[in-house]
Amino acid sequence: MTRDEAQEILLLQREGRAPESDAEVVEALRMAASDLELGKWLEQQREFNAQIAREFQSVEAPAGLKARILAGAAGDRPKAGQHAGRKASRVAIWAAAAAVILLVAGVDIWISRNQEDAPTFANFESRMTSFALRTYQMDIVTNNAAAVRDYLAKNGAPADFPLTPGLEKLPVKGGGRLSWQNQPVAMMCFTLTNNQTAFMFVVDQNAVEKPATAAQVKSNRSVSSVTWGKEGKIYLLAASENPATLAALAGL
Amino acid sequence: MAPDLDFEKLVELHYKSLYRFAFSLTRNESEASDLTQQSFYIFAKSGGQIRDKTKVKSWLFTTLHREYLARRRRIVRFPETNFADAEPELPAVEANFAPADAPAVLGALAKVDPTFQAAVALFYLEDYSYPQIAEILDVPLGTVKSRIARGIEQLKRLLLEAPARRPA
Repeated sequence: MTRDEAQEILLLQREGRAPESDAEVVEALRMAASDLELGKWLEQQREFNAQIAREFQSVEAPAGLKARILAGAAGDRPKAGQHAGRKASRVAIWAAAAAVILLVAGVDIWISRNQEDAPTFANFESRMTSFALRTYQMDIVTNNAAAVRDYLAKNGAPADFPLTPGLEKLPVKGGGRLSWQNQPVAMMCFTLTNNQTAFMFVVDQNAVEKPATAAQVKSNRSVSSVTWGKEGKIYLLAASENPATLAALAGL
Repeated sequence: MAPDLDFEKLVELHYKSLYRFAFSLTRNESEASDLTQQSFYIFAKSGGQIRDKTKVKSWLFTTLHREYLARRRRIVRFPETNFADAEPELPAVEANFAPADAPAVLGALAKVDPTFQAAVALFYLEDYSYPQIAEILDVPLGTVKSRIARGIEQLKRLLLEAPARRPA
């Protein structure tokens, strides 16, 4: 066995594992014991591996992750030993840094008590679109669009809205039922090709005063949005994405 | 699912290590959390096929890795390379390794060839054997060893080149 061959074998040894009974490993270790240079290399390699392993294992899971996992799977856990027919509970998930949409209307902890908020289209739009690094909550986490619609329907939110061809192609992440000025708002979330989350809100056009007559595309540093109306409903699509991409998804 | 596979217990047992694996791949807390949640969610929906509870952890890791790759494929194309016969490039005895903290290590891992990253992460994170890592990553055993060896070499080179950082 050459020194290079011994190094190849010893590179993959890990501290704390059961002693190798592999004949090649035993031979390589014997070489390292008698070859000063190889032995020094092995010592350094072990020290390197031990430190790297410590650093990898020092990563801590964020607080609340376990609770979110359990809540998110509440409606889909195996029946044995679990509560059957449990209503999907709210699931908090962290949006991508610097580009998260804050959902204000209807989420208890975020809803504004400001009585001066007029039910204008502009207020609706600004409420549904916000800035980075917020937590948002989905009532249902699933990649099944039908399940999201079913949840929305059962909770009195718009549910039978059509998706544009562009949105039909995106994976669904989940959804929720919000409210705006005491009107139900449907939320459906999608995963974009840049791995960000796109939020689509649907509300009856009677919920807002003076809805925009034409589709609008807006963008700031952190988020873009597209709004359009169709068949008595207003749609708002928002994400940390190129506005042209969102417009294309909206079919504009 | 076998009645003794209590979901909450499984989450408690595995979510931290699963998160560490996800974080080592993404270096992003929200993405890692999302991947971890998604893996358990998929398990909740379809993990009933697993009768042997000793296989659950590797099933979760496999699922997470698959989800990670699926997300990456939407934005990055991996070059196809056959590592079956690749020889790891090993230096002679090298200079002393400078101390580095977790951000430096994970930052260096991010610069390692993407094809090697998952294998290296599993090598350091978990007490999996090479056949188990091969099963999780769905590649031949020889490929896994080669990826780990080459990944470690790249990691080492990157950390030796970086300025030494002292943990806080």
